[in-house]
Amino acid sequence: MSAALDAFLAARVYETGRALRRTSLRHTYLADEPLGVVMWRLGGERFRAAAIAWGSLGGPFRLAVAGEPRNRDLYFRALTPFAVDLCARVRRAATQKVARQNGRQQELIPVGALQIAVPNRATVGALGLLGRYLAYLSDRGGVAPDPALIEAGKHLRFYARHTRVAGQSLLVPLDRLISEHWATLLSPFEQANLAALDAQIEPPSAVHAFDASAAAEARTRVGPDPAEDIDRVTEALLAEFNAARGGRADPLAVEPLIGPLRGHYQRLVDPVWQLMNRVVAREQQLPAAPSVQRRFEADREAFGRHVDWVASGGRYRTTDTPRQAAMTLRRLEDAHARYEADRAVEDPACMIPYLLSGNAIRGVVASVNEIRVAARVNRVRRTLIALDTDEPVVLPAGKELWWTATAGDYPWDVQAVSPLGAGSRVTLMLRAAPTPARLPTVGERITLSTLHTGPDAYHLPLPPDPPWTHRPAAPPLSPEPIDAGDSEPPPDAVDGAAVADPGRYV
Amino acid sequence: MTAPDTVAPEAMFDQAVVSAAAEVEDTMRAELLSLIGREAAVVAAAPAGAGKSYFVSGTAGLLRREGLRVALVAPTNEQVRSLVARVKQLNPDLPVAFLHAQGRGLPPDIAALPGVSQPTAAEAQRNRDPLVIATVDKLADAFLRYGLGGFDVLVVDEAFQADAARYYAAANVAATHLLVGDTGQLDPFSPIDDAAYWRGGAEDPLQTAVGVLLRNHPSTAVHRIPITWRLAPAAVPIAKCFYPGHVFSAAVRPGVRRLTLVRPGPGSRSLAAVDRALDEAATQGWAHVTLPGTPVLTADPVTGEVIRDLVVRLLARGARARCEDRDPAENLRPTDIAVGVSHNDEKDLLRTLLGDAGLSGVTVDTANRLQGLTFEVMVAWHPLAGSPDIDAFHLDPGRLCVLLTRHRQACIVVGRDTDRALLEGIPPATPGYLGWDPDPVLDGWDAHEGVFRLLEPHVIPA
Repeated sequence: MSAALDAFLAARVYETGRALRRTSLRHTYLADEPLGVVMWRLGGERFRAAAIAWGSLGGPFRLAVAGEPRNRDLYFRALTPFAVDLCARVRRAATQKVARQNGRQQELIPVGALQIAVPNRATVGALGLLGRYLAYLSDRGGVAPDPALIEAGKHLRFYARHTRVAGQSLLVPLDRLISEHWATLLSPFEQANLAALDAQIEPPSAVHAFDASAAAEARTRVGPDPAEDIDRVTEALLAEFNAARGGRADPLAVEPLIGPLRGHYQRLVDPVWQLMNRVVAREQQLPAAPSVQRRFEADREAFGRHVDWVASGGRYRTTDTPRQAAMTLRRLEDAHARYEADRAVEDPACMIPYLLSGNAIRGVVASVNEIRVAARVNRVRRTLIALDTDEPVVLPAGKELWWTATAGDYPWDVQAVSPLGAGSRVTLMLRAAPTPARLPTVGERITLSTLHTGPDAYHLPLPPDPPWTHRPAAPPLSPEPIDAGDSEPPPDAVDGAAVADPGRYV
Repeated sequence: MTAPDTVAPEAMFDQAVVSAAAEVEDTMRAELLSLIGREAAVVAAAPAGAGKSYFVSGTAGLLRREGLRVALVAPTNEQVRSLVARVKQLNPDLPVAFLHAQGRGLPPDIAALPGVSQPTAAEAQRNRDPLVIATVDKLADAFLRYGLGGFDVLVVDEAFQADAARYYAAANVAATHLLVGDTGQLDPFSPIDDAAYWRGGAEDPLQTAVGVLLRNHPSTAVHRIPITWRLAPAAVPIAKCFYPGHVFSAAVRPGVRRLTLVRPGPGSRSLAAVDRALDEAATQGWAHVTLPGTPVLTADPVTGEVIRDLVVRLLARGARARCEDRDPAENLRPTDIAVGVSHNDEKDLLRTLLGDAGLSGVTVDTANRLQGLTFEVMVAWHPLAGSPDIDAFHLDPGRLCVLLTRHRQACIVVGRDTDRALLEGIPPATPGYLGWDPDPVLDGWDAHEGVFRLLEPHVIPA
């Protein structure tokens, strides 16, 4: 990103009155019908979903409302249909596999993967917390939770953690999808509201993007956390529901009472669902960048590994080991660098920040000449090109740049830069023997940048046993089960006015 | 007070400071020798210019004389290359095996030193080379790929710059470790969006090598080196902004170092501001050149030109430096000068500007690449210069610390007169992490404010 480009685009959006595309290609894989998930929580209940809506986008959604999500029986019963359906969809997506050559080895990866779309990054976090809660449920009072809940928890936890991989498309928060592909007038905080983002892209006739998003933000709440006015309604309905059920949790007694709360959440989800459908349909129209399929293949590979692991009864640690963290960091850094490079190399609009910051140059090839230079032993063939740029170039000799057409191949080294009219003439030498595919032609307008898309570095696996430096001198105490204490009554509410403030000024 | 023209050698150094530092170093070496064969470590925390490389290189020689096999590592190629030179300087007879990645060999002058070899990892393992020097990554790769290990001591220089992930990969090469580093420098960094994901956890791969060691083994002794050999007394108050709680003093006495410039001649009016800045830096050790405040691009050409003018003029005015190593004074060479920046595009701009001025011998680099290096004069492009707002990257106290603690004679800071206003008001809210006390943004806020305050008497409007 570039502050200068952001400022320019914001000014243009303000001037034109509607959002502008900041890319010419779509850099995220979008399935035909991703699984949409919308979630609402109770205020202050970060681990509990008060309502979950799910279904294939383009179709209707199903809605699970627990009534009282703090009651374990009601909560699990409401979540079970969602969990069962999610598990079935995941397994179905992983059933059919295709062979892929990886070096000398052939491996099987799923043909597809279940893609989940959610309205915003906050929902990713909420699903991750829900997954963490469900994945580690233990028996209580001899009653085991439905296995589908635990399995769904593992899936949700996997999906949420996988969003750390730059360019992934297994779990797509639509606010990020829009922010990466559109320039709007919204601050990062305001971008969390998908309705506000969408309104800037397609404002009503004669309404400026700014006013359209302000109105949309007030009109459409996206969740998962309720605003105060929503929570007030929820609280009243919840109080009525709890009073009516009188502590009962059996389905026959509770189901007839849940209608008002269900209606409340239905009204909250309906506009969000329409919004998600509109956003996904619009972004599907944009042609996908060439590297999207490669990144989705990496997603499928991770998805297949996860499903196989869960199917074999595997469990995930709640926290990484030092080894896992170290290896994950390397993987994430590689993915980050590759995604940044892919976007800019494939999409001229994404190269603009690099051109502005001097990390890329663009110009017309004035000459292409083969020369011979002394290498270690022999003289070797090399090619010099002269590139005439429209803008003045500031690059030191020796800087290595990759031509976007061969960004996965050898770099070009800057030999000299001299003024030429309002721009510069840059002389570059290819650091490899010339071949037709490696050379531009005279008169061709080309871009070179510091970004390259060669294969990721191969990292050796770290030793499984941590060195003494990374092991605690004394082993830590075992943690208590994650749902320990769920059955205990909550502590009494504290009256703030009655508590002495030790830090107050006297 | 005018400094005397010549200074007697015994009067050059503050003997109390030198003795205190020597005592700490002797204690560390004795403790390290007592730990040999055990899974244990000694940690040395040092301010900028404390002579870490000397200590590390000298200790490597001592360990070898005790018949111990030693692996000596640092995070970057530049650092390990200079370690090879330093080890050979202090221990000319000691054979040194330098492991390096492809295309990252030693410069010819160091490679030609007697006893220096550059084996492959497999050769080093086969030969059981007794003193191997490599980057942390290269040693880890050699250990994982070829089983190079079985050392008695692993010595990690710049251990506050090495991250826990890299340390994990290399730590098994020896049981006993010596970690030496500068607490004020840049912390390990990752470009990924949520690099703080593991923060506070024991598994955090981006905590420092020292951090993970002390977290798991809190009884490990940490020794603070109380001296800076590089910085002159005038530089110490500002340097202390980056080392809260660490007591240290300059080794050299006031007046030992002296930077002299020829008076500006007729026709110098257009360079009056540049000359004033150079005079201030030469006499006071600091100058803070401030351009009129305006928001600018990162690689602002105007700031770049001012820095170029300062460097060109510094040499044009026949700068001569006298110090404990150069008496009488000698002419300043381009290689004695460095320009420190925060971004690669600033670096490219300045390398081009200085190259065009015939001064490609001046080092221009980003702060993270300048860590561990020393110059007579430093010109620092202030990280907040012309910035419209502040963020964690530009507030990082480690970045400013590196830029302001590389010099022996003088440092010229170049920014804009609105930079300090960025720190007025309430610091930004920052996330808290269980199990992790530091707050780089608030620490940076404090350090920047302290530096601006101490630079106030040295402000020269451009």
